[in-house]
Amino acid sequence: MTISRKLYLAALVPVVLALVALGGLALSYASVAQLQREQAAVIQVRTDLNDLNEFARAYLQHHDEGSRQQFATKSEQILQDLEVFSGSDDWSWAERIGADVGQMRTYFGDLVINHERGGPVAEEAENRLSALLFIRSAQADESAARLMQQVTDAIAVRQRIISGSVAAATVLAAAILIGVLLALRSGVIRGLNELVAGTERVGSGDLDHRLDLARSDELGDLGRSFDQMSERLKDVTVSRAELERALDTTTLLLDAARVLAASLDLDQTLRSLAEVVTRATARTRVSVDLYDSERRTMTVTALNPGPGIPEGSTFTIDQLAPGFREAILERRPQIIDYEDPTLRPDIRERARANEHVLVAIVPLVRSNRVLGFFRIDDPGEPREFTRTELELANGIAAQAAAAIDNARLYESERQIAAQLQEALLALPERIEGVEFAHAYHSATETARVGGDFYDIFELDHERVGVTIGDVAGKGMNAAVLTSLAKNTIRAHASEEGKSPAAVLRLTNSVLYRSTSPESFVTIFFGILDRTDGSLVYASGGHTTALVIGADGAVASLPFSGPLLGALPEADFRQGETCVERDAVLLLYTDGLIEARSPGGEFYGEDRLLAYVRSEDHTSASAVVEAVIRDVLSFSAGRLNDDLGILAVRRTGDSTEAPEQHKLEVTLDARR
Amino acid sequence: MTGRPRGRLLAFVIALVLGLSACATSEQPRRPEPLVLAAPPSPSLAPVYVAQAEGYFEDAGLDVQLLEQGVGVLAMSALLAGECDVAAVADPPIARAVIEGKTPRVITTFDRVDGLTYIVARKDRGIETTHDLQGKRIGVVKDNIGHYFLHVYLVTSGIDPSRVEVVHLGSDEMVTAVTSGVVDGISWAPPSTLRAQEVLGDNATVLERPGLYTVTWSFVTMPSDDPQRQDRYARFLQAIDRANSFIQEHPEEAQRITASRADQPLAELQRQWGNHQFDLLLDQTLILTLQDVASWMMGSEGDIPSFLWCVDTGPLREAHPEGVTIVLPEDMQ
Repeated sequence: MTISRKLYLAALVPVVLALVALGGLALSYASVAQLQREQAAVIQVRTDLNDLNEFARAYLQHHDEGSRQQFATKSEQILQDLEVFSGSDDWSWAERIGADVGQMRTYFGDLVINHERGGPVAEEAENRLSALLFIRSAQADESAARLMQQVTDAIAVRQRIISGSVAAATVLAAAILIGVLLALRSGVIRGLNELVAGTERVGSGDLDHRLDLARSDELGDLGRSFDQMSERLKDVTVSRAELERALDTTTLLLDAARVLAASLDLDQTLRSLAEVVTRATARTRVSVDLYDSERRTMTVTALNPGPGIPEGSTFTIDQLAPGFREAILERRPQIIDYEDPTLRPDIRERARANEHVLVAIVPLVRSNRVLGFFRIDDPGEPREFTRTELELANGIAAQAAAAIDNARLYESERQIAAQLQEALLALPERIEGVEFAHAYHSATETARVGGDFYDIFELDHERVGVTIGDVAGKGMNAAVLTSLAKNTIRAHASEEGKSPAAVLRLTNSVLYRSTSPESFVTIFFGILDRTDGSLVYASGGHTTALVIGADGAVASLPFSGPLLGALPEADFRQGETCVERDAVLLLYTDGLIEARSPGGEFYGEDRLLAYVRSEDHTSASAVVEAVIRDVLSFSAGRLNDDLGILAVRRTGDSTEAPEQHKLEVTLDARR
Repeated sequence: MTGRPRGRLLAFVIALVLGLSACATSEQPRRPEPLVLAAPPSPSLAPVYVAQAEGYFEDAGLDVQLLEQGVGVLAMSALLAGECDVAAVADPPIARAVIEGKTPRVITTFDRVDGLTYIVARKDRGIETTHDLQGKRIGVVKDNIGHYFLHVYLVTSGIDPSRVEVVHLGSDEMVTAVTSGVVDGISWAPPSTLRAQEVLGDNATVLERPGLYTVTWSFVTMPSDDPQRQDRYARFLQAIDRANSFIQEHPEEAQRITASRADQPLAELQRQWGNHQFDLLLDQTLILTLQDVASWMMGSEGDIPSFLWCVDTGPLREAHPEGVTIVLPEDMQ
């Protein structure tokens, strides 16, 4: 029943009761009105009885016709007045009055007859009859008094009944109305509460919630409309839960990306991957396997944590469950149910041993290449995988594949760069007449290939070429330019009669033609005569070289020319000095003097000069060691630029020259 | 004090209270108090017969013994002689007693009956109509309702009462006197008139005038200040009042009871039943009636005594207060 119909009925109940009460009241009032008419009639009868007595007395006194007529009229009137009682339930008292009055009329008639008759007998008869008449009159009045009391009591009773009925009807109507309204209110409130609770749930994003109100009223209609609206909303709206899931997924993916990008080390990347997947999927076991597409083998590389196949285990794809092949072919996650009886017994046996029940295989795909997989499961438990979980795992797998690819590329480049660096910085084991030491530090982690280089080589029996340079840029491009510059200098220096300035001019021409204008090099190149110590040199934008005498005196070689490779034609000034026996020619790149203290202060040439003067310079290696130690101390172990140092001491004799000394630069930042 | 003695004391107190309560409430069966009622057999005694039959007197704690008298005058004599506690009589015996200086007390009227009295005469004595009564001998019990009725009947019929020879008879002589021809007729009431009619058969002439005389029956006692006696009268009236209710509710049963006690054929009783008004009343009509009867009795001799003194409203005020409407001087109430 609808609420409106219930409300109509609720309103109808008191109306019906009021109508019934009004009907009852009308009947009661009609009854009371009848009683009141009777009461008035009785009052009139008593008055008339009194009059009747008076008329009788008057007649007895005067025997006049007027009194006789009045008696007759009045007695007739009384009998008529009593007619009002003819419909009463209790007619007895009125009947008695009527009988008494009737008898009074008889007596009166006899009185008249006897009076007219005259004589002593008639007189005696008059006496008797008058006495009897007044007795009857008294009886009639007594009956009238009883009747009056009866009518008055009846009126009082009826009025009490009316009052009681009105009160009872009012209370009953109010009680029924209140009861109906309370019941209605209870039902409506309950329905509204269900509606409110349901709308709050739907409003909070739970679009799957349905009110399902089992009501046939307007609230039921409203609930069904709301459910339909929720259904349509669900079709067109992403629920809050889904948004939260998407947000969680995004957060996890971002977190995964951050963790996976934190290292270019492949091993570390794989272990990070295992940790990230464990955290994201809340699975208790994750393993990462690398796939060799040529050999079609899979190698277990990282486990986190738990029992399983040990790291380093290698399987051919044929040894594994078909899900692996499908993951490779379809490039998407596969679920393997190891309790599937169609699986090969050996596969199922190995799965049982490793507590594999239900495992998700997620391929690591990069540029359509499958780099490997990660497997996730809960050992010994057949816990189902959700679509969201697999999507998240797939997202992590995509980032992991990129990270693995990058790590592999980085490793490859690092190995190449290391080999190139090794080649670029390779110096002869020993050169007769000189002792030399060198140190190198690349500011870039990438393959440790910096832009600084140095070289020392024999031109003939007397002359030795010494080179130090700084190539703009880093990495492989810098390495290529370094190689070009170094080999061009060597080539031109070997030509007969070529001075250092000429060598640099020719090298500039080569570099300019071979590289882009923004690629340039600073170079110091000198030719040292081992026999007389003369040093002819030229510099293209490079830092000042130092000659540290055996006595500790330090001389700067300040000449400097244009950068190499920047201009098509360049002329270089050439300088000449003498490197005394046991003096040390110290060449370095700007990474040394531009090293900064933690306070931002440059190391500078002045500090370098002061330091080398005070330190041991009895050997080239001692000088290099001292300078390296001091600059590391100054910079608190932090060097922000490439640094190359080459120290050459002219021994001047023909005795066997000592081996070159290569110093390793160890920085705090790298520890 | 430990818990156990306190419990024993409590149990003792409870037992004591219960015991005293039982003593207080266990009334000894009240012994019915005797009450002698002198009355002539009459349908008007229907409330008395019903109260006896239904045990209302016992319920009221009374052992009512009915001392039947042949006529009301004898019942009044028994009362005046102290032979009974209550007499049930019509108006004339009361009026006579008061005229003679006696002090009966009317404690209530209990029936008003119309047409009770009439004349049964012999046709063979030439009595067919009212006027045939002149010169005839009519037997009456002196100063009873039949006597009074005969007087009123004659004068209101225009007959000089002196032209009718009134023969005073004993109540037990009435039927025989008329049936044997000692008198030409009798004026009285059932059951004597009915018996006379039965004996005379077709020789009987019935002369009646309904409405002429309404007989008022009263319970009369002797004056007493004894509250126990007054209480007994009140309980007596309560039982009568219950009987009146029974008569109203079960008229046929009441008629059956009354017919057997009043020595009347049931059919005749039923015919007359509507003329009775069984009700406990003390109203002004009683005084007027007694005055009228006394006036007839006294003729022109002396003053009519006041009958206000012979009304005792006390018992009826106890038993049925709404029946008391009589207006009395303040010092008589």
